Amino acid sequence: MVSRVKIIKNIAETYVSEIISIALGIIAGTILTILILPFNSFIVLILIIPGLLSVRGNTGGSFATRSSRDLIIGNFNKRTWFENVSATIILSSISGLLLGILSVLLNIIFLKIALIDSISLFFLPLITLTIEQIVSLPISTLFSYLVFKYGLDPNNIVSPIMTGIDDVLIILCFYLSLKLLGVP
Amino acid sequence: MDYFKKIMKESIIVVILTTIIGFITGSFLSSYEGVLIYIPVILIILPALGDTIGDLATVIVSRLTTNLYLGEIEPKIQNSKVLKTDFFNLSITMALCCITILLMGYGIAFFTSVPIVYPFLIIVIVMISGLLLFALLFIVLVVSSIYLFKRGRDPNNYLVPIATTLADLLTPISVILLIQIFI
Repeated sequence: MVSRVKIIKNIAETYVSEIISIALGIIAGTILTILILPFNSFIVLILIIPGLLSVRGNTGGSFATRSSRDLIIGNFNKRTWFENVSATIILSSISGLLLGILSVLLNIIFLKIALIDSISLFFLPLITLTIEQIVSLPISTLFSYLVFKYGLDPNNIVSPIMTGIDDVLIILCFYLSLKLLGVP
Repeated sequence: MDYFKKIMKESIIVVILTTIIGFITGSFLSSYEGVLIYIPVILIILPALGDTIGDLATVIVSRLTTNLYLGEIEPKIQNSKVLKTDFFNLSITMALCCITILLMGYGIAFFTSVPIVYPFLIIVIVMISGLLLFALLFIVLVVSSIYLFKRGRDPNNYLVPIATTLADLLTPISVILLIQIFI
């Protein structure tokens, strides 16, 4: 009986925390379908999107877990926050540049689609990630701080929710960058 | 700047590798652009499905590592009640998550007038993809965790990024391949 209760509790805990993540993922997918799918250059744009979404987990997600840990162990101060932000922005920029280079190369060698010029394609991931980080990092910091201040464990709450928020932000910033660069 | 240097040193390789793997996923999706345009609901569902498989894979690694450190699981590949219970619990969670993703995905598609094509087939494909990938990752992560633990390494540091990246890579591939097989 106890074992059955424990099993149900385990399933419920994992499932409930996943609901928020799923809802945010679905919102990101919907924005992707409504805003990005209609672009004529979608065949080239879809090359970049999975890479951008991978970056958010490994830079934004890691930023959130480092902030949470620093708050819990009492290591959170202006210096550590600034160094954490700087490293996260540099790592994101490296990913953005790498995605830009790979997309341009693949388009020139294999796809040969002239709808989007190489300079726009090169800068598109970098601009998207830069705008996203400017919006996301303050939200993540404030969220971690508030969760910690109200006596909750930021480790359990901030990272899963921030990866979902980052999914939505990345797709929105990607759309904004496409408009800024005038991509058809 | 020690903190900055430590972050850069420990993260740079993982970030570069995951960016490249993400790009490989993008190249795969780009080659099946027609499927995504014909069945747009897939685009609504894919990010949530990939995130869920990645999240549950992280839970697998986290629970396994804790159980290995606590001695609840022996670092040997053998039949274990703890592993069976974890597999059972997380499989049910995965199935519930797939149902939730489908309900939310179709609900949003309906209200935003996104065309709904082959609805029942897509339900079957998402359920098969979710449960198959979960089972595959479970086996790979159990074997890898035990291997790393026996060599005195912390499986969390190695397997969490690998598990989430594998989920991001394999989810679209399995969904698109199943669509190709069935349609």
